[in-house]
Amino acid sequence: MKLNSNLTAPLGGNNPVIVQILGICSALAVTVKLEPAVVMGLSVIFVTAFSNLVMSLLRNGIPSRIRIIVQLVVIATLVILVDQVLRAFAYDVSKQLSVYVGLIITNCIVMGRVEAYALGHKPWESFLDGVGNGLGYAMILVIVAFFRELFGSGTLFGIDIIARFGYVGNSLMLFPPMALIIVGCIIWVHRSFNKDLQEK
Amino acid sequence: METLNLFIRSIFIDNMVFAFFFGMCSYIAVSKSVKTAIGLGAAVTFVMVMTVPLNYLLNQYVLSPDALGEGIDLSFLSFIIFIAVIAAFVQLVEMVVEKFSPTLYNQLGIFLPLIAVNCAIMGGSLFMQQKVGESIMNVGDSVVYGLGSGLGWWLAIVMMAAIREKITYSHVPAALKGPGIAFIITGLMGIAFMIFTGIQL
Amino acid sequence: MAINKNSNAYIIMYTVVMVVIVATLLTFAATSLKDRQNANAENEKKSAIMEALGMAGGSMEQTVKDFDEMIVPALIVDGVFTPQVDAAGKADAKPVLDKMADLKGLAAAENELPIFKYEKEGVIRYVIPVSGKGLWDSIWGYVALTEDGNTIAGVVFGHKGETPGLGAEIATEPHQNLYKEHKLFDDNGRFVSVKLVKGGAHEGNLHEVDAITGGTKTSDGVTLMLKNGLAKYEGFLRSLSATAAEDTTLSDDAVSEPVLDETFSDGETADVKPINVEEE
Repeated sequence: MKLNSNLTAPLGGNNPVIVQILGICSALAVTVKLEPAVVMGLSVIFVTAFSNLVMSLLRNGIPSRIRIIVQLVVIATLVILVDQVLRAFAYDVSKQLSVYVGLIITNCIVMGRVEAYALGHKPWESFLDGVGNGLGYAMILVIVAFFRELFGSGTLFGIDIIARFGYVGNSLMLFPPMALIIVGCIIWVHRSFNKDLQEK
Repeated sequence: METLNLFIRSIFIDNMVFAFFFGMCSYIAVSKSVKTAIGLGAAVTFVMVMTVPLNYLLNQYVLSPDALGEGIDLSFLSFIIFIAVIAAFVQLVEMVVEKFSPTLYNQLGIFLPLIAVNCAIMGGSLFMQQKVGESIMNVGDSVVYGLGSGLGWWLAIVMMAAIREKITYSHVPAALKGPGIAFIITGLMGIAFMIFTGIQL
Repeated sequence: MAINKNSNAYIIMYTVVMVVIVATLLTFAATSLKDRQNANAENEKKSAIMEALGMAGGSMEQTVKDFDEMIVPALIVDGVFTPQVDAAGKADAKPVLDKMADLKGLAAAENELPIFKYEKEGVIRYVIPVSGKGLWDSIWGYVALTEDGNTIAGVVFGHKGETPGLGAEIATEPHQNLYKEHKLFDDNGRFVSVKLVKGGAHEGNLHEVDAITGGTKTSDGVTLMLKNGLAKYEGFLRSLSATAAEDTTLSDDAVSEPVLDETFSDGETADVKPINVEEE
């Protein structure tokens, strides 16, 4: 049962973005539309899962002095793979994501999970932990993108939802600051239900 | 003029925090007091000024297509090279500062490990790579861009810390205390920064 | 195992092995995906060109196929239209697209200017790529001209990061439709390009279109991009209009011939103003 909680805890009470405040850097800029947000989410799930797996497999052989560099190299390699594959098979989306794919490397979630979890646990557990945290991150991304695309352009995945009823897109939603305010509101709602997380 | 334009733009308009959300993790975590914010901001600016030009040179003379020889394109390695340069540089600075100036190390040192994974630094290098040939034409420009972006980040975190010091006296809803309100403030500051849009010198 | 994990020898060995593995993996991935990535970038340009001609809309594959069939990619070398062919004598878009690989290169190109010629059932169109700077970042576009080298048949614009809802409107259809039937040369044969006018174009002026409301800087960027980009082609366009003018005077029946494809019915008119070449 512990394995299941590896997967589900990051979705709720221990969400990496809104509880641990990790990985927001790359989170918000890709949330203008749902499609890039989903692709970004999947990319992060892939990178967290496999960097956790690889580092967990290597954990007994890594010289401690170059630990950080080894982590960075493994993560960067995975990110480059993701970037190359996206460019070849999802060109449009990869252009929208532009530099943000590269920034998965410095996404604190990836490094954070490797450092805090994978280096001390077995490969399979680490892998699930990575998937879980990636999912937790992707979830926030999708929620933010949902509101921004719906109210900003009146569409979802580019399909007209409310614009047909005469809704005029609110451009403010498309500007970067609104992403931050939406995350603020998500944290507000989340902490209202999880009172133990509230700061005194 | 172009260079001045680039400088002003990278501080105010393309502000790392407000326009691109770069370096948000440490931005939210370390903006509780003005003093630490100034320390971290200084460290980020310093590392940016050094790593952006370094990566610029690597990009121009090693990574870009045909740089090493006809038909050799190493641009797919840029992520890994950039992050390695940043990590190595941060490590180096840490060791040098520790050896020669223990006082500075005590003030700055605690922030240095945080910086290697600060997206603002990596973001600075990646944006530099995109701007090559458009607004960044030579090493000088890349120094200016690094400095501007660093200062922009510094400005943002110090302002944020000042606001958060004051906000402890306000009645913020319990669930919003801490990161929640910090996000909303950043958003509002971002809207305020939008007035700089379109400034052209 | 009794290996000291913190000894220098072990660390160096570890690093070397890791670097070799990573390098092999990445090089393999990058080289095997390279062709596909380049094809993507090329296809994007091709479909933008077809869009300027008003002929995109189908699937990407179809558009690219149409492009390969109908377009003659060429360079204008010292004012002479030079179709590009590969070794086998087939039309080869690569050298032309390569000229447009980066926007700065396109802006700086002087002697070899990329151009695309469309020719089918007597309809001739020329597509010229242009690039410039908007408010935030680079903007680019393709201008389709009729065979007189003067009348705009269609445009498409793209941008990297103009303000959504304001400057970004240049990439929308309503704005791009404004350019249709506008002229690059005035009645006296001077090159004036098309200007985006703040507050609205003057009624009936074929050298002005409405600027984007709230996107003045972007609009100015487009004006400048069109002017600078097209000015380089001035000599070539003049030679086109001279030929077109001759055609109109020599054979009047050619004018009334309704050979025009449906797609172009709006842009093409017979009353092509002859341009006086000697004027300049």
